[in-house]
Amino acid sequence: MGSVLLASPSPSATAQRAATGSIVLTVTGPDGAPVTGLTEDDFVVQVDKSTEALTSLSSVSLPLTVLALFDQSSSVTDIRGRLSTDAAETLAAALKPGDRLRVGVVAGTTTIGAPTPLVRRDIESALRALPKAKSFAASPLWDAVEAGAHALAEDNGRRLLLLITDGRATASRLSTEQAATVAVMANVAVSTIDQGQQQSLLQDGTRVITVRSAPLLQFISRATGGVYYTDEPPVFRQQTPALILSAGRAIRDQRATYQLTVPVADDKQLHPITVRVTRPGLVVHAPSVIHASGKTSRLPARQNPHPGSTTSPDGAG
Amino acid sequence: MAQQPFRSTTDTVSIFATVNDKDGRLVSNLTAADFRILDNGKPAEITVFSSDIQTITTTLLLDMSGSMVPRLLWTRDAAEQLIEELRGADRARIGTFGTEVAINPNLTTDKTLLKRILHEELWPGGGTPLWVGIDAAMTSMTHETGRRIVLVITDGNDSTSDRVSQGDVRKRAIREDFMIYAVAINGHELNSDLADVAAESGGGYIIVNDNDDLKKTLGEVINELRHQYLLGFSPAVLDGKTHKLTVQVTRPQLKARAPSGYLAGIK
Repeated sequence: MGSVLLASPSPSATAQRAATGSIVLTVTGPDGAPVTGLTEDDFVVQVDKSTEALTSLSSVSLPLTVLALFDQSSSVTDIRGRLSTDAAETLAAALKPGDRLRVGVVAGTTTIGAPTPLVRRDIESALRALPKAKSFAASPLWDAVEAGAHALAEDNGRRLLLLITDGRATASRLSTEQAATVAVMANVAVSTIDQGQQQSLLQDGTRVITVRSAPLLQFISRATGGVYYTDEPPVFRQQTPALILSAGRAIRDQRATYQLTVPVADDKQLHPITVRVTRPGLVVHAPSVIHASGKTSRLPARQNPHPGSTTSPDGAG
Repeated sequence: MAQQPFRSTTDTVSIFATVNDKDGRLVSNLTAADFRILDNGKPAEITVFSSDIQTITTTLLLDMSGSMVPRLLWTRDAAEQLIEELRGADRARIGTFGTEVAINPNLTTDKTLLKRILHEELWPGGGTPLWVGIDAAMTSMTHETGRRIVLVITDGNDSTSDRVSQGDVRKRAIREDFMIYAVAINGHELNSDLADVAAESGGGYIIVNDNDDLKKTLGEVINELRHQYLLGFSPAVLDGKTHKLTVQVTRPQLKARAPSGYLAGIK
């Protein structure tokens, strides 16, 4: 599967602008809170590295369809223990009528439950129903993002995959970039809550190297229009209930969104897009690619390299 | 010229053998007439023979346990060099064991992909679930045809495996025809468990020290794997049991390494 998230635009891509494409984005201020009230004049947009005038901009509050995906691989559970149902209260408080919620786990395989009613008791039950991981369970995070994007692809509203993880990805068939491409094609924003820690390791008795999981989590959040959350080192010391509060914030941050429409080549290709705002101190969280409305290729078929991975259909559970 | 994968069938048992001289040098110019196979102690006629360059299909399994932390770069750089040594249809996949046992699904000739995995998926820490790791590596190659190699780089004995034992790995390697190679880093607590598994599977066991050139060692392993002999014979009895296997070289001062047994499937 190809990807344009890191690629330069092709010459032919800039030759035609016969259609329009739309993306949904959020903007946060210096305090990390969502910023509302921006107008077209505040935005500068480049498609295929060429500045484009906005066709339209609207401030929208879409219903949310959320997949809260908990990393329960051994690198997480050996330190933090098993997933607690404390998440239920936070998730129930952050979601509103009209929203949808699924919960899932990554632990060697990926299991994604059916949509659950938005009340604490039902969310607790959904969390309890998730399978417990075996010892030494791996962390195929990027394959899990792909599975999550497919699970959300047919849902309405703002699609948010919330990945709560230490970022120590292992055993994924897909690269981070490939997973991000699938998420963007499915219009799914991936927000990450980083539970990981940075390690400084002495090598050969002389050199010190730093091992960090943050860059790949930041990448997938940035590429898909999601938000990366961390509070290292305090987050690492926090226990699960406190981290779950970050999940509530991550959901609330998606309430205030802008839908932006710009000219884009009339083809089935993904085109690099960058969006910034002219006001100082504001950060845009937008997908890294755009396609002409109605022109994108279908999502690539999933290959499941992890026997046991499951996604419950809408009606089940 | 690399040849097509050849695997044991019910009627024909295939064996890969390495031959060294008395100084440990690889010997690659023998013919079928130089070999003798004993199946449960009885001579068996060699019906398949090849001394062609052998294609490599391997899971490279890296120990990421806590004691390997100071050797992370050393190991990764050597693994990267091993990937560079792959040629043509050679395929590899990357696996690790430590806190997690993680076998990447990509078994590929794509060196760029393999190097990316090496740079993104090595997370040091945890115990040493060696047997669970080797077992998972074997499982990842269950459906592969041809010679299937698990090449493990480790500095210690198993410390945390909870569902697979050394005996399980040893039996599985013989019965399902996996070859185990081990590069064991001296300085921790090595014992003969892994060496025994490697020997019985017809693989290899090499001890290195921290100051040794690990890249060179892995290069030698790759060269050895390319120059193994393929031998095949028809079992006299198909009884569903594990048979003792002996491969001998008739020329003086040469020694063959080959699996110590095989499963004689029921027809």
